[in-house]
Amino acid sequence: MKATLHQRLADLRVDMPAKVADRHAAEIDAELMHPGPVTPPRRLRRRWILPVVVAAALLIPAAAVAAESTTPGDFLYPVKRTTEWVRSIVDSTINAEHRVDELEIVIQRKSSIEEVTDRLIDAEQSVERSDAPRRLTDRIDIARDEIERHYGVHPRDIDSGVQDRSSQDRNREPSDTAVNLSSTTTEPPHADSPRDPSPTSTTEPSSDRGDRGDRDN
Amino acid sequence: MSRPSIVDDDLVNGIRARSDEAFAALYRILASDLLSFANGMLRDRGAAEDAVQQAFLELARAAHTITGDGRSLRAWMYRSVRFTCLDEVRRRKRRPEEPTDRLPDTGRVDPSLPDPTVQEALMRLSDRHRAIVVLRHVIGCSVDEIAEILGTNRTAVYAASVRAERRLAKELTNVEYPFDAASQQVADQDTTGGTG
Repeated sequence: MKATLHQRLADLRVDMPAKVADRHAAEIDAELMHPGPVTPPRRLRRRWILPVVVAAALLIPAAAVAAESTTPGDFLYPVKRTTEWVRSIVDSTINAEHRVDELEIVIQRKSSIEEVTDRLIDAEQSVERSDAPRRLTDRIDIARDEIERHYGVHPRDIDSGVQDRSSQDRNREPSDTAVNLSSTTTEPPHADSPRDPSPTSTTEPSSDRGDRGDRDN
Repeated sequence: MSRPSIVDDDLVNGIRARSDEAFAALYRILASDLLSFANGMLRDRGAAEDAVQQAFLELARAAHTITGDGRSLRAWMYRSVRFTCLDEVRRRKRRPEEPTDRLPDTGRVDPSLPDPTVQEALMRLSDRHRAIVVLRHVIGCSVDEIAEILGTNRTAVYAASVRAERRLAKELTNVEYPFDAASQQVADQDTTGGTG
């Protein structure tokens, strides 16, 4: 008697009506004549979203941490600048402090005068833009003394370079700044670099700068 | 209960070559079986016809990717219809009050369909159990074929089939529709664990 239930289930079988079959045949023929694009199943179409979100959630903080100790020229340095820009929304002195740190690092590395000048300009502009504490200004002054001692460039010459960079086009080549700075040095660090024949720094050093120069001597 | 028709390898090769005749022959062989399957899954004749059409259109688009023999092609078509039906069921659950007369709600018995009481009980089964019951008892597929369609093994299909049949008999009892004595006995065994 159990077959009765099975028989009732078997009776649920239906046949495809001829009218519907004709309509389906026309649709299938049209598809065969002009095949549409083969789209992956819906489940596969969205499969890439989760791995991408997870990878971004892991990689972005990792890149930010790895970029903390980078200096200009490193691969992750733009990441550091971006994270600092975000953090500077909360604390405006972070950017200035890091620029002064980088200035001290490039001086210790004895990097080229162009690099040191760029970092000095960045540091001074960052300090000016922020409510930086007095200690940062003092550190910049010390760095300027170091530059004068190691590179033979007078701070007044660097001042003129800062004004050039800040008042004129910011996109000028670093070698342009080096021209102004190295024109007063006795031994230019890069003798093969193109130079401006006319010296830009013609004024005498002020007394306080001169005192520092005397102290170094 | 009719036995499923065989799809031979020549027909599969014609499908791969996107032959009109091969598609027409495959439609003649499978259309009614697929329609019965979709109708059992959805209890909606119009949606079932659309699901069958969708399966053949998908086959036309992906004909060059078909591998295996005629049995694999049959299973591919049933899987396509099943996925379309599952999507339709999910869509109805998300929007149960969609104002259309083409999609009957699951609680209404359509008198135009054969044996609406059994269909009512079928709709109370889970999607998987419903698919197994329809494939086995309406279409007449073997356990091996059902396993290939559902992507599982023979033992799992057999066990699920037994549970689904018991559940179906119980649902027929619960809604107090007319049923035969054997179904009542199976339902009683299920509720008492076979001890009464």
